[in-house]
Amino acid sequence: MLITDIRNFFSGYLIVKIEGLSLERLINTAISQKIRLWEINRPNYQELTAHINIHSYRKLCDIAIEHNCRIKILAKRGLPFKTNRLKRRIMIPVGFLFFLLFLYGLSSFIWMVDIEGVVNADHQAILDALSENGIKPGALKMNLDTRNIGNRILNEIPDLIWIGIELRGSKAIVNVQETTKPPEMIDPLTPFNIVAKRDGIIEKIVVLDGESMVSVGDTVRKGQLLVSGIIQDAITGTIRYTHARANVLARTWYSAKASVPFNRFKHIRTGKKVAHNYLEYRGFIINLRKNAVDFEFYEISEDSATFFGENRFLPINIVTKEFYEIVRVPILAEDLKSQAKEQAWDNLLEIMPNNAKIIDKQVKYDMIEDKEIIATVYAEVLEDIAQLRKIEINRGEVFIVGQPIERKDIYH
Amino acid sequence: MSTNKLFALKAAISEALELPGEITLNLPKIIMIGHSRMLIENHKGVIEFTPLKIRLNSGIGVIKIEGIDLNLKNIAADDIIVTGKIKTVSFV
Repeated sequence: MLITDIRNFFSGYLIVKIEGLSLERLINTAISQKIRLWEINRPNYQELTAHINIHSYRKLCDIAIEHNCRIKILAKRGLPFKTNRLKRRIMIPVGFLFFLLFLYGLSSFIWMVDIEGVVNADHQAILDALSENGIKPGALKMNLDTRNIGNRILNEIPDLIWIGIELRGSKAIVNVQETTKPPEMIDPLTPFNIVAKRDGIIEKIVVLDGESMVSVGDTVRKGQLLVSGIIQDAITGTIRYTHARANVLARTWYSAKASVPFNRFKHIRTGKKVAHNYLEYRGFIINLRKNAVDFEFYEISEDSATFFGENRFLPINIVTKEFYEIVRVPILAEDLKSQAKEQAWDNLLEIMPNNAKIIDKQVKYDMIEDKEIIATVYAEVLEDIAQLRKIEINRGEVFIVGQPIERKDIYH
Repeated sequence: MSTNKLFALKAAISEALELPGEITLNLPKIIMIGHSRMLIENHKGVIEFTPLKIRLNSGIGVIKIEGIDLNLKNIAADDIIVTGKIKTVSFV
């Protein structure tokens, strides 16, 4: 049975051979003295082999002498014998114990500090603050009170509104959340004018502060004064300066163009693909999987990722290159034109600001035979063209940087 | 009382109360599993032990086991486990 086998292994047993004549009587005597024997075999008339506990062996020897039999030890089995052998090589268990202690000891320290969630704040400042408060490589994990430290760091670095510190293994993972800054206060007294950002035709003008110089329907040029921050009181004539504020919605236009060279063919993927995977370290390549590429025409898509993570150990990249089979299909002029238009449109969207509303678009094509197709895209948009420009006040004189004042009379 | 009558009385009481015979009457308990394993509890000694024949003493007399490759798997205070190819078990 398993449990008795385990017990025998732990306490140790011998395989003995008993030679003599009155072997059955020897067995009976052993039984009466409560000696346990097992696996008893009778190889021949004068021999008996058995397994016996180390503890009972002494008594068996005495019984054997009584019955005029000889005992010989055939084998020694069990843990006590192995322990004795180990005692001669004591460094094996000692070394193992030392290893365990070493492992436990080292894992009680922090070896890596990871900060996540930093967008605008100073990464180094947070690291320094953590380091001052006890979280740095080489610090003992045991005495660190993460909640306390977190609160202290929140106090020290005003950009952060929340911090979470987790000691996971020997890594300190710090999650932070930054404050969103409130918008800047405008000082209503600093003198500012509003000028036009671009050429356009005024659609709507809403003046919050300052004096309007233009009205709806006017055509304005880039840089033209729209709302003045210099206000002259009609009656007393005193001049005061203010920070002009207004929303000026105007119709303006943007254009962009793109050219597509005259390709006879277009590439279409058939769907069949073959992958290469390899590890790369500064140019040295270990191929992981390299299947044969037997396509006539193919396209390559390459994707590379750092193997260990950013800035850790060695800069090894794992690269996946996929080869897609393609067929060349002749392109029609129509396709080229729409391709050019797409590209031109993308270019346009890049230069156009987000808050512009498109009210009209146009496309023009120029085709240079056998060389390329140029598409030009025009978009008419509604956009807020108000732009602030500071007024420089110098003793008695008033200079507006770069623009002479054009003022309309107060009374029309 | 003579031993026979005492024995008969004990037997009757044990039967009536359904007490285990190996305890009250000192009978051997023999458990056989198939023909290769045999446990005998409450024996009184080994008389003969060879790979072909084992004879044990017990409360009811000699138990003779004949077979091939017989060995004593385990011996404890009053139990014996016999293994091997057992051909005959007889009570002499």
